[in-house]
Amino acid sequence: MLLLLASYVFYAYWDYRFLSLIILSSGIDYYLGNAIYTTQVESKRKQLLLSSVVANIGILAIFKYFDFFIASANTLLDSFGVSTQLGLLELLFPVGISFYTFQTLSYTIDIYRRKIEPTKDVVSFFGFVSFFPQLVAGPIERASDLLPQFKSDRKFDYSNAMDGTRQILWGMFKKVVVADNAAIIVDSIFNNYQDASPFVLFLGAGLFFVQVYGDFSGYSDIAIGTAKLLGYRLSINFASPFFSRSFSEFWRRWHITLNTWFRDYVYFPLGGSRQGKRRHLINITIVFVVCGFWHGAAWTFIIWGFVNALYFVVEQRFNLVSDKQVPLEELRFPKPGDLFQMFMVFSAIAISLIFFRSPDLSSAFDYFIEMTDFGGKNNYILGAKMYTLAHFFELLAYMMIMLGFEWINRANSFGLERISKFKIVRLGTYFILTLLCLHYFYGDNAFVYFQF
Amino acid sequence: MKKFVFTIVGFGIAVLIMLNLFKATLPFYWANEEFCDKMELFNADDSGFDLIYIGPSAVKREFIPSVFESSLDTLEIRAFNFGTAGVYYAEENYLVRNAMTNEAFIDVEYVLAFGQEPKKIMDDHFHKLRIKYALDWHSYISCLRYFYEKQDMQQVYRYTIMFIENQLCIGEIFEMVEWHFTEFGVPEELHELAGYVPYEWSVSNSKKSSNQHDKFLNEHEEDKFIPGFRKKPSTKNGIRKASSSEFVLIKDLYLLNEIARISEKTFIPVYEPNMNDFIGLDSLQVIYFGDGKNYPEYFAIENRWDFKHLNEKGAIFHSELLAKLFENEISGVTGQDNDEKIKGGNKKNDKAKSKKKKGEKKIKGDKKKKRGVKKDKRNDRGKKTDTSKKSKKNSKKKSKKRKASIN
Repeated sequence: MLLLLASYVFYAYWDYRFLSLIILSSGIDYYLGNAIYTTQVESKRKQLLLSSVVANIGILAIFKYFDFFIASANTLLDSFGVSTQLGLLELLFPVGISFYTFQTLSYTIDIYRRKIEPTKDVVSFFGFVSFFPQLVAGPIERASDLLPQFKSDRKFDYSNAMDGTRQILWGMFKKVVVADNAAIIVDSIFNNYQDASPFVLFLGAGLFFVQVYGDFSGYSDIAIGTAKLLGYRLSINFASPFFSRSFSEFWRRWHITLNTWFRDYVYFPLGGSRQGKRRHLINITIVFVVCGFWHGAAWTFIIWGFVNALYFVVEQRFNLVSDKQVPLEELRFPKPGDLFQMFMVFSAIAISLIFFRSPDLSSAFDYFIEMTDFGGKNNYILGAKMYTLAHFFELLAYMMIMLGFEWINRANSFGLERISKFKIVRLGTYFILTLLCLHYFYGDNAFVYFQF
Repeated sequence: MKKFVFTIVGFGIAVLIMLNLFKATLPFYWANEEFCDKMELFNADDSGFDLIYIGPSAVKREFIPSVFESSLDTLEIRAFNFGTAGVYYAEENYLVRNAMTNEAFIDVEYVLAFGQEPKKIMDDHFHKLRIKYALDWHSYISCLRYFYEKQDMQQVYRYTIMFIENQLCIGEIFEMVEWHFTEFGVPEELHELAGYVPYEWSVSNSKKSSNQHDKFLNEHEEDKFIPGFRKKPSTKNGIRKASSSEFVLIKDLYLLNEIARISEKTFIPVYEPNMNDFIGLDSLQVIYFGDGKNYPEYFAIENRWDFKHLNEKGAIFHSELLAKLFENEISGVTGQDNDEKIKGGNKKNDKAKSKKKKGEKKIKGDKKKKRGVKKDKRNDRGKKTDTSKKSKKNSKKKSKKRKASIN
C-alpha cells in the first residue's frame, strides 16, 4: 500500500490531473482481467479482451495520436483543395502512458491466453501498473514476472541492495556524463546542420545514437537499481547493443522489453515466420513500423521504423548473418571482422536515427542532402569553437570508459557488475564515477524517452 | 540494512571530505576568473594598496582608482578596483568577508563594497550561476532569510538547491582541478588602471556591450534619462521604516563591520544614486549618495554607457565624487549630510567628532613612513613577491588572450 501511495505521489508530482488516467486504466484492466478469467464462453472472452484493447489503445489514441491523425487528414484535405480544417485537441501528453498502457494490455492478453491467472489483490495490481521506478519509461514488465513479487514477502538483502546502488551509479554515469554531454554537441550540430560538413553531420548522427543509448539505458539502469533496493527484480532492457554484429542481434539487445512485447503481442499473432518467407518479411516490416509509431505520433518515427525494417529484412532475405558467428559472450577480444560488423551496424542505426531526431520529415531529408554536399563546407562546429572541440574529446573519453566497462561486463546485466577482484580498484572506480556524476549533475536535462 | 546504510553514508561522507579537502587548497576567489586576474595584478604591485572596492560591473566600469586617489584632499591612499562582472549579493558578501580576513589583503585598510540586494535567480541562471561557489553557509542563510521575509518561496527553493549543489561541488570539480593549471593575468594596458576596465575598451571584444550601448542611445536620443528605479523616502525626514527583508541585509552589514573591526580594517558600503534607499545604518560608516536628484550629472546621457553603467566620462565624475564622500565619511560626517556637503562645498560640521576620527587616519605627511612598514611586511612573505614577478611575466604573455575574458 505504501509503495502504491509513493508511486502515485511520484506520478502526481509531475501533473496530478493525470493520476486519474492511470487509476482508470488500472481499474478497467483489473475488472476485465477477472471477467475474462471467469467467463467460459469463448466469444464473450474475446469481446472482453477486445474491450480491454479498445479501452487501452483508445486512451493512448486520444492523448497521443488523435492530433496526428487530424493533422494528417487536414493535410490530405488541403491537397484535394478542401479548405475545411478539422480541430485539434491539443491535449497535454501524459508521461509514461505508452509504457503503462502496454503493461496493462499484456496483463489482460495473458489472462485471455490462459498464461496467467488474474489477481484478486487490488493493491498489488494497481501497484504493478504504477510501480514508480519503471512507471514513466520502462522497462515494460509482464504481470507474470512482476505481479507475484508484490504478493511475496521481501527481506532486505545487503548484496542485492549494493548491486542496485552500483547499477544506479552506472545509470547516472551513462545519463549525466555520457548522454547529457553528447546532447550538447548533438543539439549544436542538428540546429546548424545547414552549415556543417558531411563529416560533422555523420558525427552528429553517431553521437545522437550514443546520447539515446546513454539516456535510455541509463534510465533503465536507475529504474532496475532502485527496484533492487526495494527488493524487486525488473527485466534487463539493454544488453551492450553497441557490440552487435548484425541487425537481428542489435534488436535482441536494444530496448529488450519493448521488442519482446511486440514479438509476443504483434509479431506472433500476425503469424511470425510460420507462414512463408514473404509473409515473414511483411510481418517484420509491420512490427517495425508499429514500433516506430509507438515512439511518437509523427511521420519521422514511422519512417525510422520503416528504415530499420528494411535493414532487418535485407539481412534476413540475403542471410547476411553467418551461422558460425561466435556469441559475443564467448569472444575474448573482437576480431577485425567483428569490429567492422559492429561499426557497420552502428553506422546504419545512427543514420536511421536522423529521422528519430529531426523535428519533421523535411528537416530529416535536408539533413541527408547536406550529408552528401562535400563542397565548400568546413567542420566549423568542431573546429571554430575550441570549447566544443575540447568538449568532444572529453565526451570521447567518457564513451571509451562506458564501452570499456560494457565490454568487460557484456555477459552480465550492467556495466559495473564485475570490475576487479581488488577492492581498492572497485572503490576507486566508484569514487571517480561519483565525482564525474557530481561534476555534470546540473541543469534539468529530461530523459529522452519521457516524451514517449 | 544497517550495514548498507553505513556503507552508503560512509562513502558519501568520504567523497564530501575529499572534495572539501581539495577545495581547501584553493583561494576563496578561485571560481571568479576576473577576480583571479585582478588578484595577479594586485599582488604584482610592489607598493601595495590601502583601499579596495569590491562589487559588480558597476564598480568595475565606474571606479577609477587614479582619479579617486588624486581627488582626495587630505589623504594619501592607493586604491584598487576589485569590481567583477555579475557579482551578486551572495558572492559580494562572500568576497568581502573573506577579503577582510585573508592574508593577501593584510595591508589593505579600507574595504569598500557595493551596496546591493540579493537578486532573484532566474530560470536561465538556475544551476548555472557563478554565486554557486560563493554560497557558503552564511551567504546562503542571508539570502534564504531575505527571500523568506519577502515570501518568495521559489527563491528560497532555488537558493537552497544551489547551496546543496555548492556543498557537493556540482559542476565545479573540473574547474577546481583546472585552477591549479591556469595562468591568470590581465592585459598589460590595464596595469596602470588598478583594476578599472572602461566600457569603451570592451566594445571591440563584446558585441553584447556594444548592443547595450546602442540600445540605450536609441531609446534616449534627447538628453533625458530618468532613472525610474529609485524609490523615494516615504517619510518627511527622508527616513522610512526598514522592511523585514532589509533588516536581514542590515544585520549582514553589522556583521561585516564587526569582522572589519577584528581585522583592523574599515568597512564601508557604498550606496550609489541608482540604488534603493537604505536606512538603519546610522551607527555604521556608509557612503550614501542620498537622493539621486542631487546628482543630475549621474543621469546625463553623455555620462552613461547604458541603463546600468556610466561611461568613462561618467566614471571620472563618479570617482571624484566618491573620493569626496569617502573623505567626508572617514572624517566623521554622517551619510545623511553628504548631499548637502557636496552641494554646499564641503561644509565642516561636528568638529569634535571629526577631530577624534582624524587622529586615527593617515594624513599625507605620514604616508612615506607607513609605506616602509608595508614593504617590510611584504618582504616577509618572500614567496609572494616571487610569485608576483612570475605572474607579471605570465600576464604579459597571456595579455591578449585574457583581454577577451576580462571584457
